Formats: sequence, structure tokens, C-alpha cells
Amino acid sequence: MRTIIGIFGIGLFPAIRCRIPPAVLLAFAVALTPLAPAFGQTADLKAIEAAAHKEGPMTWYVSLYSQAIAEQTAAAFMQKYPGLRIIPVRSTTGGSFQRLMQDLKSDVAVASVFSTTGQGGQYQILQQDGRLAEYTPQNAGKLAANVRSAIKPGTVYPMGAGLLAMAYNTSKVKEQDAPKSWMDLTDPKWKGRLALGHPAFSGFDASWCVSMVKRVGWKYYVALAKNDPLVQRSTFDTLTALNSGERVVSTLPDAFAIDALARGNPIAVVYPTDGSEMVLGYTAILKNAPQPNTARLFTEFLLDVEHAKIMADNGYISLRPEVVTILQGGKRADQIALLPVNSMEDTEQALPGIVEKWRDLFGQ
Amino acid sequence: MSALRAIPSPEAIVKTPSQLWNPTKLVCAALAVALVFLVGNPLLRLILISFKTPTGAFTFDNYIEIVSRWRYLVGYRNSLVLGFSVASLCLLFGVPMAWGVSRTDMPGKQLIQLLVLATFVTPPFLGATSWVLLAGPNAGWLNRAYMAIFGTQTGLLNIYSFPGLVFVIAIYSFPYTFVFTKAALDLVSSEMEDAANCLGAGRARATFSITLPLIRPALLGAWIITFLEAVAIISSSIIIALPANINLVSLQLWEFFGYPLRVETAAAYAMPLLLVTLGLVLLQRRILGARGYVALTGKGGERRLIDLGAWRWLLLAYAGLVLTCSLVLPYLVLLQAAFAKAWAQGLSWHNLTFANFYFLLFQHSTAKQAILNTIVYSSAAATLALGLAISIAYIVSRRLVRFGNVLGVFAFAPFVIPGMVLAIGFYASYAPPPFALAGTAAILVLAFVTRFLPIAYSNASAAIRGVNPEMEEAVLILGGSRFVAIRRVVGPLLKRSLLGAWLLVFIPACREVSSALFLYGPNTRTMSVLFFDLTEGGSFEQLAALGVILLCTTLVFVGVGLKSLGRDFMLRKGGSE
Repeated sequence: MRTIIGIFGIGLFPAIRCRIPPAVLLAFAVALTPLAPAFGQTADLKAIEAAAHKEGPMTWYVSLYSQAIAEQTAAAFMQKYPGLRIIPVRSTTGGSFQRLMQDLKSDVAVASVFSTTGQGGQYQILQQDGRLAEYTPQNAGKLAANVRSAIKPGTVYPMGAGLLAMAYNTSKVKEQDAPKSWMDLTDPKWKGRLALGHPAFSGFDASWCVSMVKRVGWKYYVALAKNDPLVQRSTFDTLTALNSGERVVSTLPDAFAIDALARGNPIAVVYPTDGSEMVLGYTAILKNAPQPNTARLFTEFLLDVEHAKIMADNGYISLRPEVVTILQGGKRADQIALLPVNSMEDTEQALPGIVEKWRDLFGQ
Repeated sequence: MSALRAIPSPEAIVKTPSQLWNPTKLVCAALAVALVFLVGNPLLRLILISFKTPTGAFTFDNYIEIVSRWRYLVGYRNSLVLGFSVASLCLLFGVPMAWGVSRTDMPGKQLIQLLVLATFVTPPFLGATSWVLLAGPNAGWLNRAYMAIFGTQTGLLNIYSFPGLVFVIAIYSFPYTFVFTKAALDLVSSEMEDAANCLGAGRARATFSITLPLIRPALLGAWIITFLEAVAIISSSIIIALPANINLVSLQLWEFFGYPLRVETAAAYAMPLLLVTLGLVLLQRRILGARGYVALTGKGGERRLIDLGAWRWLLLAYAGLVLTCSLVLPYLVLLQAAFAKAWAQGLSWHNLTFANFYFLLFQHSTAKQAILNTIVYSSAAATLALGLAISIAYIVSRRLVRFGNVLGVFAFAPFVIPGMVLAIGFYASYAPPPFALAGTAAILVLAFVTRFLPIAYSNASAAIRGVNPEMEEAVLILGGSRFVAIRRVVGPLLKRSLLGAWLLVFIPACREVSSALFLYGPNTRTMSVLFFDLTEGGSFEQLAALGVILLCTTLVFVGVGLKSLGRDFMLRKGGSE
């Protein structure tokens, strides 16, 4: 903690003091008794389910986690509601939005539910353009109290969260040599050995860029660029580079490491001492949803305990107080250093400029 | 009946209305409409929207925008250098091999031709991915081997570099050069080389000052097609240029298609590219137009193989080296990764798994659909393109209507339009209402038809030129209509060559990326699009498995072609001219 303050200078004290946002702390504190559902709402869900059965397969644009977890979530939903079908289309946060905007521009309705990290003000844009359907999920009231501030009532709801941390290849880097903080990555000893995701594509890296620019300034990336990092689109790609030993240190959502470890890859996660980046994943129903009732039912499911368990099993952070995620190394998210969580407004303001600067700095 | 006769006779001075609107003309009109829809309108729309704001007002801002950033200009420069380098490297790869196969006593010719064919059917993105595994600067297998052997700390090769990009594109484009060169060399007789020898020129001098200049049209054609391939390719660009921080026209166009969606800027940015390709084709005409290449048309003349002596083994080794780079090494790593739990862990029983295939075939919700889509769309596109091409080629070659040539020119025009640019034109024309084809199978199939129409057309017209019109005239004289002649005489005669042409459209359609990536919807993903989704999914193992599936699908169809048409069916000239 002291060292962090030392690194970032006095001007940033306030930000650091609240670096673990109360919102997140509480999420794991099991502080809340779930609100009892009001009478009549269960009946509503029955009506929605009945209507959903007449709708056919529903397309779901999703970016927070991998295709495999998206399939797992869809399968669990389909098991709960036999006869309904979800088609998950996984892409990066930027890629999903690009796809949606193309659909909207040409006036075709494909996806019913849109779930990304929303970097760059995606949900504000959709809301301003009147693209989001109004629906208040019953399960919204059961989310941990502290993440409720992230809700845009009636339209956008957080469905889970992930952490962007660092990782290194254990067969190439000894534990004592591994970087401990984001600032360590600018050390010349990592020249030609780093891998990063691209903020125009990866929601995790976008959010991290906004945080780091807010904290250290753009000069952080200028310094990082001197180390000639391998920049790929998705933050998933960094894992490939790391597994192979193509690059030995990278930014990486800690949850991605689980599958890689299971496959026998030499990977270790480091939660940086200057704070892991916590990124919320949101979900919303589109106004032109071809399957509006399936979409409502599915949104309830995403905010439900079953989905929270899928998240936790895969290393993502559950937003339901009933389910606690254990991170790599056995700690909980409230026991490690976190950067202040960016609000949607933060990234909407800052991201477009950062992406342009990034492209000019890295050439792509 | 006589009204149905479509041979324009100079004697017919007075025309009845039925002669003005006979079925042939109706067919022509329908074809013209189809071509306007497929080629004319998208191009026109592309030009128009490049002068428009998103709301439709006239503006020059898009053109100002495309020169406003250094990065955009760098994209042009890089793409041009890339095109020149790739096209030239392709000559280096393809010409010696083609010369060896066609003109010399080099051993192993059959095998070499078969392997060139295999290179042709290998999707470039699959090759690019494999080369990342082979020549990644730190972890590539080749570099690891190099470091192990020489005990160095760093590898020799870096695929994430400009030369790496040039190499990977060239190694999968050189089959064009090979096919063009070999077809031309096959027609050059030995007589002129003999004459040169008589006059005292050695074998090398005869080859360089007689044979190669004689096939200049083919070399130039191959150079242009590989140039276009390189500037328009998006798959290898995403896989290699993006991480290497090299901006290219293709990547920049793709960025404009991101958020905020700037179709208008993309259209403007594509214009200089269109001009360059147009300029190249005109330049080719000019260079070739100034000279005669009569020797090419003659089929007579004796052809003897040049006795290379010991040099033939050197030539064989060279061919082997190129084909090892294009096929042997990439397929080794691809198969290893497809059946591995973690590809970087190397070959071992412990690391062997079928899970990647299982995931794609049984757990992935869209992979099966994508495989089916690929086959259906590519078949539909091949059939439609060939139907159009054969009709146009027939009308043009039999001169059934005045200005029939215009149809031919239109059918050939997509050749100079890079795939992505075409896709943007298609998107602008048919995605929004009133057509509202965005995300439908129709827009993909139609784009594929347009994209590969030149291949279908050049094959169809070559085939039709091979059918003597006298046989159809016999039908007409005996009172049969033009359509009877086509159905009973021309059709059966062309069956074989049309199957070959069908496959020549089907195979590239199966692996088409550049137009698919701009036009697909969630329910119309093809395997190549899925491949791109998986490239950002962090699992090279699943990616490799999908590549193997895609390849097997293509090979089934190639196998059918080989069985029914013989080994040479794809290696004749006309593959794409």
C-alpha cells in the first residue's frame, strides 16, 4: 500500500484511499438478505415463460467470458427451461458492439440480449438512441447491495464481473523475477517479452487503460510501448502468447488462467500490488428483440444464483451474495488490491480518445 | 419457329415486334439486370456514398478524413509495398517450379503438381496461423529448434514482421503464378529455343531471352493477380500484421467498419485502391498491346524436354523447399495442435486429446451450423455464378446480340475489385431497406457469386470457345430452337468442363474471408468467419481443429473433382484470369 502511494504521488491520494470500492467489498460480505419476491411476480414469470415457448431460438451477444462458458450458461438455461433455445455469439466487447451497430443500422433484429462490459459508453449510446427495452428483473433486487449503484433502472443490469490481472509463464520466469505491479511492466528487462490486449477490442484492456491513464497518465503507455509488447485483439490472445512462451508476461483476466492450467500450461497469475482492474459485465434487452419473452427469462437467469455459480466456478466474480468467488491463490476479491471501478460514464468519456492515441502509438 | 432464331441476319431489315423481343433478347435483358444488380449497383453505390454524410447529404469530408491521419496514409504505403513484394516473391517461388515441370526432365513432376494443388486449396488463414506456431519469434517450433541447435538465446525468424507477412501471403499465393506460367510454357514450342541454340546461345540464354519473354503476358497476369491478392487479403493481415503493428489498407477498412460504423469513410478509403488495381490492368493491356505473342496461340511445333543433368536435383530440391514451407511444416503443426490439450507442450500421449473436435462438433452451438452454411452457400454461389457465366459466355461467343461484349466486360469487372471493397459496396447497396438483406444468406451468396464470377466466366468462355458452332447451327437448320440446341448439344458437350469450373468457384468460396467478414450475420456464419471468431478466443487448439475440419470438407469436394476430372482439373489456365 505504501509503495503504491509512493509510485503514484500525492495528488492521487483520494483515489487510492477508496481504491477498494465499497460496492465491491460488500458484494462478498453477504450483508444482505435477499428481498422476498412480491406476490404475483412468480405468476408473471410463468406467463413470460409460456410466451417464450412460442418464440423460437434467441441470439445472445456476449463478451464477458469465453465461448465455452457462454455455451455452459446457455446449456444451463436450456436445462432449466426445456424447449427454449439460446444461441450465444461470443466476441470481444468492441466486436459485439460493432456487430450490433451493423444490425441496427441496416434495421434488422438479430440479437435479443446484449451482454458486454459496455466499455466506451455502449449502453449509454443504446439508451440515448432508444434501442433498449424496459424490463425490471425480479432478481435485480437480489444482487449484492453495493453493485446496485451500477444498475440503470429498467434497462441495464450488471451480471457478473471479472478481474484483469497479470500472468507469467512459469517455465521462463522465476517467481521472484515476476513483475509485482503494473509499473513493473515498464522495466526494460521486459523488452520484447510482454503481451497485451487491444483497448479497441478487449473490454478488459479498455477498462484498464482508462484506469491507468486516470492514475498515471498516458505516459504509462508511452513507457510500455518502449518495451515493444505484442498487441493482439482479445485479451484471450495474450494467453496464447503466454502458453507458448512466445511472450512471458502479459495482462490477463485471472479467470482465463483456470482453463489454461487445467490443460497443463505453465501459467501463474499475479494480482498487481497497485490494484487489479475490476470490470463489470452488463446485460440489457434490446427494444427490437425478436424473442422478447425469452430475453426476459434469460435476463432473470443471468442475475440468478445458478448463473452466479457458473461465474464462480469459472473464476469470475459472482454478484450474488449467496455465491462467493475464490480467486487464484485462495483469496477473495475483497482481500486483494483493486483499482477504483470505472463507471460507465468514465469510460464513455475517456475511451475513444485513448483508443485513437493507442492506435497512433502502437501503429494499429 | 423462325422468330425464335436468334442469329442476326443482315438481310432482316424490317423487324417485327416479335423479332425485337425474342426470347434471346429477354434472356439478355435478364442477364443485364442481374449484372447491374451484382456488379454495377454495388460499385455505383460505393462511389456515391463516398461523397455522402451518414445522413445522405453531399460532402467531400470523407476524402478529407482519409488523409487526416498519418496512420491511414501509412496503410496505403504498406499495402502497396506488400503487393509489390508478394507478387515478386511469387514469381520467385512459382516460375522455376513451373519451368521445371513444363520444360525440363526434373523428376517428381506429378507429385509437385499435386502438392501445388494442395497449396491452392489450403486457406491462407490456416497457413498464416500455422506459421505463427512455426516462426513465432520466441516459441515457434523452427525458432526453438534453431535455438536448441545453435545454443542461442534468440530465434532466427520473426513472423510478426513485414518480411514475415510478405512470406506468409506469398507462400499461399504462388500457385496462381505456377498455374499461369506452366499453362503458358506448355504452349511454347522448342523451335525458337532451338533457333537460339543454333545461333550460339546457351541453354540459360535461350531460356532468359526467348522463353521467358514469350510468356510475358502470363507472368504479368500472374503478377497482377498476386498483387491484388496481397493488397486485399484480410485474414493474414489480422493474424500477423495486427500484432506486428503494421497498418494496412485491409485493416484500416476493417477499422472503419468498427464503432463508430463509418461506411462512407470506408468507401472513400477504398477508392484509391480501386484506382490502383484499375491502373494495373490498364497498364497490362498497354504493355501487352504493343507486342504480338503469336507463338502462344499455336499448338503445333515440337516440344522437347530440356536435359538438366545434375541440375535437375537442385531444381527439385528448390521445389521441395517451397512446398515444405507451404504444406509439410504447416500441416505438421496444425495436426499437432488440433489433437493437443496444450499445443506448446509438444507431442506426447499425455497431451493427446479429441476434446477440441468434440467441443466444436458437439458443444459449440454454431460450429455445425457454420459447416453446413459453408457447404450450402458455396454450392449455391458456384451454381449461380456458373449459370450466369455460361449464359453470358454463350451470348458473347455466338454474338447473339449486339453489344453482347458489354455483358462480358461486366462479368469480368469484379476481378479488379478487392473482396473487401466489393463487400462494402454490397453492404451499402443491399443491407438497408428496401432490400434489407443484412445478415441473410442471400447477401452472402450474392456477394460470393459476384466475387467469383470472373473465374466462372473465364472458364465458361474457354469451354464454349472449344465447342464448334456448326453443331448448333445443324440443330437450327433442322428446325430446333436455340434453346433446344443449348440443352441437347452444348450442355452435354460442356458437362465435364463445367464441373471443373464449378469446383473452381466452390473451393475459394468455402474459404472466402474478406467479403464474408463484412456481410455475415449470427445465423449465417461460415467456417471462415467462425475461424476468425476463434482466433480471438485464446485457444489455438480449437482453432487448429476447426482448420482441420474445414480442410477435410474441402478435400471431399476436391476428391470428387480429382476422381471425375483427373488430376489436372485445377491446374489448367483459366483458374482465374
